[in-house]
Amino acid sequence: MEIMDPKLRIRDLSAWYGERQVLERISFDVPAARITAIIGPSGCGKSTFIRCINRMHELVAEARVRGRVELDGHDVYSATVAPERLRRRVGMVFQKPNPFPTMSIRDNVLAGLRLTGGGALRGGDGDVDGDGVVEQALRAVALWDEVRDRLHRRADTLSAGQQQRLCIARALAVEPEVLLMDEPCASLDPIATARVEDLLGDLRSRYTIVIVTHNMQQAARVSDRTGFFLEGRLVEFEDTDIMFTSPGDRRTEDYITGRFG
Amino acid sequence: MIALRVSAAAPVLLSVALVGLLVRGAWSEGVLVLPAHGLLPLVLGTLLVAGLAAVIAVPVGLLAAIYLGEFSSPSRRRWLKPLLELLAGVPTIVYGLIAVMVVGPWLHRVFPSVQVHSGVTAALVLSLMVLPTVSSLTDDALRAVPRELREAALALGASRLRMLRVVVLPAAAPGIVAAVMLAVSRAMGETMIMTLAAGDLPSGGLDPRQAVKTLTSHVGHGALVEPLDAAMYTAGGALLVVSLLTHAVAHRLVRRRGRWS
Amino acid sequence: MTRAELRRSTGLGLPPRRQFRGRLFAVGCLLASLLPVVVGALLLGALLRQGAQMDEPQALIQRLAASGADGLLGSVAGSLWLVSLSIFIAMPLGVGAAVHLEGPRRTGRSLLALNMASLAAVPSVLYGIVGLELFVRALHLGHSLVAAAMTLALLVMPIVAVAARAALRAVPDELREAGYALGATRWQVTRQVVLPAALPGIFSGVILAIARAFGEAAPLLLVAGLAVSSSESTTLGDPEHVLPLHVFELLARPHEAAQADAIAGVVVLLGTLMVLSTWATRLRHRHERRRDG
Repeated sequence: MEIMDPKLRIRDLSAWYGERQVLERISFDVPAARITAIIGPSGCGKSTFIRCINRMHELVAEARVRGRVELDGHDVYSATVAPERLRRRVGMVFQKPNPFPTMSIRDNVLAGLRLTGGGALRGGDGDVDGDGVVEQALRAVALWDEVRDRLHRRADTLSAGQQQRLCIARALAVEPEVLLMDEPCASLDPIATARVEDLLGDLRSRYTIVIVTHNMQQAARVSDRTGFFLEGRLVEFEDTDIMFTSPGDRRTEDYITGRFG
Repeated sequence: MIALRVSAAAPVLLSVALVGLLVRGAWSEGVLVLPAHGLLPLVLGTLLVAGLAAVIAVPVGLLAAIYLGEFSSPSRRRWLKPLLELLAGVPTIVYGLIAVMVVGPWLHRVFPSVQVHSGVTAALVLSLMVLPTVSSLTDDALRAVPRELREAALALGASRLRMLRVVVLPAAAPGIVAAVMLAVSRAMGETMIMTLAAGDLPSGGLDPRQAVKTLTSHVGHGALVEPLDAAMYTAGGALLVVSLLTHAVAHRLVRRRGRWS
Repeated sequence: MTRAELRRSTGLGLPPRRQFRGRLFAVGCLLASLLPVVVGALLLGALLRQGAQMDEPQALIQRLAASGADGLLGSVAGSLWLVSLSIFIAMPLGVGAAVHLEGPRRTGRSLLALNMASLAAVPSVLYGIVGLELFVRALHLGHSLVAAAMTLALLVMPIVAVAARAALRAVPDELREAGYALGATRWQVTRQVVLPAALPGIFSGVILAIARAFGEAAPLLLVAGLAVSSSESTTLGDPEHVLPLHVFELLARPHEAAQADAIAGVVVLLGTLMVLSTWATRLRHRHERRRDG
């Protein structure tokens, strides 16, 4: 499905772990400032897929990738691209909340800035209004009111749901353009999940979000577009409304009606 | 079954015997017998030589561990780590021989103020012996840092160097400190290198370019001259206290590491 | 300009300076990991070269052959005796302690384990003091090979015990349960099921212990009674004539021929250890392959 000026354009993307091929010639476009959901049974390659977008896949030993991923028209796998630079523009939230345990809540939010060399691209910490960044990022994930008076406590004192929102805040603090989320609610209880989903609605206008989920209701609730992966292939990519009301492929229908997966 | 109990009790009996013998032997007619020039020069000499050895071994060992844990390919690591550990398996008498026949004369030739039998000679050779302790245990500590934390840092756009400095090293810090403490403890308890290479000066100065007397070399030299006298028991007792203290601190730190693994 | 816009304008490339710094650090770390190995090899090479310069090889061999039981060859034989004896004592003790520690929970078990761990921190000379007091003096064994072997047995027992504990823990519980289900007692299960399964792991620990006992010299300094005239040594063998101590004594003698002998002793010592460690590694690999496969 071709669209004008996509944020991400994926063409013929294949990926391997050693000899085992986990993605086979995936091609589709991710529109800007929308939420794109990737659904499919476990082991279908959906996590690998989003790890290919910010080049995290290549960190695994013996991992290989072929094909193109374009961010605003630039191929992220071209030789001149530094993965560090790419990942600053394409943030990621993981399945398990992973705040840095040795740092305080505040330092966790600012971790991205410290890890990428101070404030703006040139200067040191002096360029950044640290308190401002912390408050803004924590407000964006609706965590500010819960933690404002304990910013210097260790991050692992928070509940799992709070930790996950902290991780989202940490990703937002570096002001990425794209946010990749790898089953962000998989280890959260229903209430925490609902809060994260509300949050996604708020973030929709400002970020291009790609969310992997095995929860079809979640995909239906939050996303604008949905891609269905099966055994490393993209079966269908469609507007979410269409996908869940009149899927074009038998296998999609079987999956979303719960006949397998 | 009884045999099992006996063998399990053997270590306890051994430690009781050790402490009892040292305490009993150190007294003569109700007075604690001290070495000719007191205990303090020996303790300071031990700390000086072991400290010098650590100053050399720790930076090199840390960098080596970072290479093993972070940059090396698994196949290279498979032969490099055992090769490093080989250095810890070389009998100390061989190190002693190397110290007095190769390192000492060489040092004396290049820096005439350094004597053949001196604190530096012993420390240099000792550093080689304890280096694997630092590198192997640090490598273990680095590898115990969960992959999620590394990925979180990289996904924020960190370079490997930043990831190490800001996230991995602080998380592994207790284990690294424990590695250093264990290395120092091993260096302090080493007898053959100290006896052969650190020199035998009754007064026991604290100039590393000259002969330095340590707790273990006091016992070692004493054994050559006469059967044990009470002062040697006192030195032995001091040695036991110092090594157990360092070891206990290291032990606690290693256990604290379990928090994020 | 916001940070995001600024970032977009600089593109996805990294300034070469930063990339260079990262690579430089990685190379530095590689060098640091190679440095000790290279230095160790160079020092050993220098030592051997010095030995080769001091003495003609043929003269050395002739002297070694001539000196008989008092010389290097005699000390190798002494070392073999010493190590066999000490392992003979240490192995049952170490394995027994491990079986006890890995058995059902009893009070004080963690204290025992802590005690074992602390023993690893005790400098080896202090074992010499224990050996001297307990075996040489209290048991009236004199400055004998037996006393020395018992001392070394105490020293290497924790090594055997630690390896044996790990090996016992690696035995799958299903095996034990299968044994119990057949109506075997705990003792029968341990002896006929668990220990055989853990044997390769225990054995590689024993080889480590052999290597340690073979090279250890510090406790023998005291137990051998170097200061005592040799007329006092007993019929139970003379611990002065074991390899590491022999090398130490040769070093104390001032003339060059003795130093060449000492270096020859080092060659024998290292050669033996090399064989032992290769054996242990092979054994461990085979064991791991069998367990994984």
